Amino acid sequence: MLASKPHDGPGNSTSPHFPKPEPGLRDRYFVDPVPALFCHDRPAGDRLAGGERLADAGKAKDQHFVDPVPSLLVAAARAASAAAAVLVLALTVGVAAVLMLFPAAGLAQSERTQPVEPGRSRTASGARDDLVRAQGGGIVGDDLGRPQTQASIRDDLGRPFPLPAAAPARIVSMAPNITEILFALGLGDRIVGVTRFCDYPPGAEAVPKVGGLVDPNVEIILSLKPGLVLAFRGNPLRVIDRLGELHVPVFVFDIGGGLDDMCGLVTRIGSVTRREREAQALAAALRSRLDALEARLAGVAARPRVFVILHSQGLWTSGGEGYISDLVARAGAVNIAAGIGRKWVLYSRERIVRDDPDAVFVLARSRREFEAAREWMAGEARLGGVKAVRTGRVFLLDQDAASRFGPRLVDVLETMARDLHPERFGEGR
Amino acid sequence: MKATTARRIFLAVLIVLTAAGFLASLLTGPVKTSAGDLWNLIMGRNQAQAVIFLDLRLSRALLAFLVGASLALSGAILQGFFQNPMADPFVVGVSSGASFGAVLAVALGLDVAAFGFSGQGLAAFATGLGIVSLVYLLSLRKGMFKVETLLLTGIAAGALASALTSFLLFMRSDSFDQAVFWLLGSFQLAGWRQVGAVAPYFAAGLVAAVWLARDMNLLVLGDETAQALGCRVRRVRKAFLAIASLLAALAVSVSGIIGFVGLVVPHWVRLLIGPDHRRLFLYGSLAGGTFLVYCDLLARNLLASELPIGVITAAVGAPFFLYLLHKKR
Repeated sequence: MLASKPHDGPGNSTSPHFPKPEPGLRDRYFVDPVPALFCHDRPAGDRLAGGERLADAGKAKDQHFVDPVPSLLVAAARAASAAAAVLVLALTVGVAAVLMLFPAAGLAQSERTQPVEPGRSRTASGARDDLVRAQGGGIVGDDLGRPQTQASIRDDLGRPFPLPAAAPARIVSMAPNITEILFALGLGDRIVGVTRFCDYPPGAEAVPKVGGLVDPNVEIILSLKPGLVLAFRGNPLRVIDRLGELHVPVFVFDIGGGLDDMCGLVTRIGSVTRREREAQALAAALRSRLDALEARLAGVAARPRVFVILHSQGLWTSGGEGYISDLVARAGAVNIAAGIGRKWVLYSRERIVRDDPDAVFVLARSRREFEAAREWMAGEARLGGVKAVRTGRVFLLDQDAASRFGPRLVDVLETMARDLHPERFGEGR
Repeated sequence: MKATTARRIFLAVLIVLTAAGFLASLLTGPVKTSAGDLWNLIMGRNQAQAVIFLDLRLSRALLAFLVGASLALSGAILQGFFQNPMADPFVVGVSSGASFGAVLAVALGLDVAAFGFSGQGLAAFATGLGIVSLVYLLSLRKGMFKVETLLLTGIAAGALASALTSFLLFMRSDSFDQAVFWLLGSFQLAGWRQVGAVAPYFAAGLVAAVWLARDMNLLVLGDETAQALGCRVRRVRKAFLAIASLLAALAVSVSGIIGFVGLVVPHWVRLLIGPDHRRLFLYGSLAGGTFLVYCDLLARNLLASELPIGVITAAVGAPFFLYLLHKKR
């Protein structure tokens, strides 16, 4: 706006068309009957001069007023372009909507009818009843056909959760580790929705995706008509609450601090899905592997000091509360970052140099990523001198397996132990 | 006469667009649904999709409409209040202030009342009002506003509030989705509860704003003139500031910060129907609601996973803002 120019003082403002009149008199008593806002037909020079005379008189309110409608013509042109913009936007959206809807209509029809199998009732509770009967009625439903819930447990958010009478027919898993455990418990064919990160075991990729860990889509989850949604602490609480409002049973699991908690998670998932026997068996198998490893490593003299790095995301490592620390301890070593009592910690290069770890584990998705990380460490002046890099004790860990709080952590642990104490595994150097 | 015809056409087009927007919102989404499903639901033949159509999509479209209308109305009020077409709840800092209040309320555990105006909403209102008053006082020099001072003060105050919000969010560990929600806005988890929380206050704000619209028309002439023409300037100014903050804070407390709606929409509407605030407030609200319904449609359907709606409104609004700034030089 003209008036906002700093050098636009009263001295240089005389309009060529309107010589500066005697100041004072008119301004003092003149109240503009047709204010600038509604006035399109007065020449620009007049308004300019008027505005500045007002400024001279100290009534500077109008000086900084920005006239939104400078002239009728410009306004009309702008109105036309604005209307055109609105129309184009509306048309684009409309056409897109039509294109999305109508070709999809037929497809949608077939997709919807597919999952409803003959003989199985539509609702989850009905399906649950069928299952109860199919299993020989171990837990009997009441007269109305509703399954009786025997007990209530609490999920890891502390919310009460009535146990279903039998394994729900339609389960949605909102985290890769939960998906893995569900498959391990033989519930793979009941999982109707997983996150886009759930790529293990092999059958998991074929299951419909409900979104990611932090952006699961409520609409998709609802459309799957789940009898049970298994979530974890990393899922947004707001999504979980929203599902609760819509009467979807959600059970939330925490990520624990070690392998004992992991075995506990397996049995808890087993009890929520009424697969107690399978879960006990799986947990027992995992525990016996842990015991065997403990026996093998019993009495190791030297416990190497280890740094675990999550590749390509800065120097993220696991602190003392993280389950990786427990893995390192069970593998007969010490996590140098264990002193920091958090789950995941952003470490610094100086600390690594100071701590001088004997071995480094790189959590990488592929051999190539691992090589890149190793080269980076060797090339990084200060890290290159660290003992682990000098002696070549930089090892690869499967990032997917190690970053999911599930049974494959035991595989990761065994790999770690083998790398750190090869002599105990009959692979002398 | 001509102007009346133009207004009628504008209103008719707007209503058609609103209806089309709501219909499209009902019919599109990650779950494939057809117009036939909706028809069956309306006729009561098939309730299978009721939850998706009503509880998810309709409530979401309604909330987007209400929030857009609130923001546009708030923007229209602020533009008149500061006599400046570049004012808007986001630019002036109300939105950022309100989101800081809401996040603070969550962090302090004030989030207890679930119905009506929650603790979160109250805190959002208080901080939003605080920020806009601060901006008002800081940019007031000898009884007048300089465009640059106002914009810069608002942006600086907004940035400060955003920084505090980010700090609070960062202090909590599970905050990523929270951060995206509060800083960029989303209707992803909209439900009837939020619609119920916003609707009455929006209605009250709209009625009050239209009631006071004549005074706003006078305020635009300058405070002295308005006073001379019988407007109680100080009281009206306070009322408008409170209404604008309330509306913006409400919008923020249910959907996070959604920028530029309050800037673009009142401006467009003013160009189309003229600057009379009596109509501007009504038409602007309708247009703002419709605009946000379409923005939300884009946010939902542009990519496989949802975009924060602030990304869409900023993509539309920021170029417009730049154009305005450029034009005024």
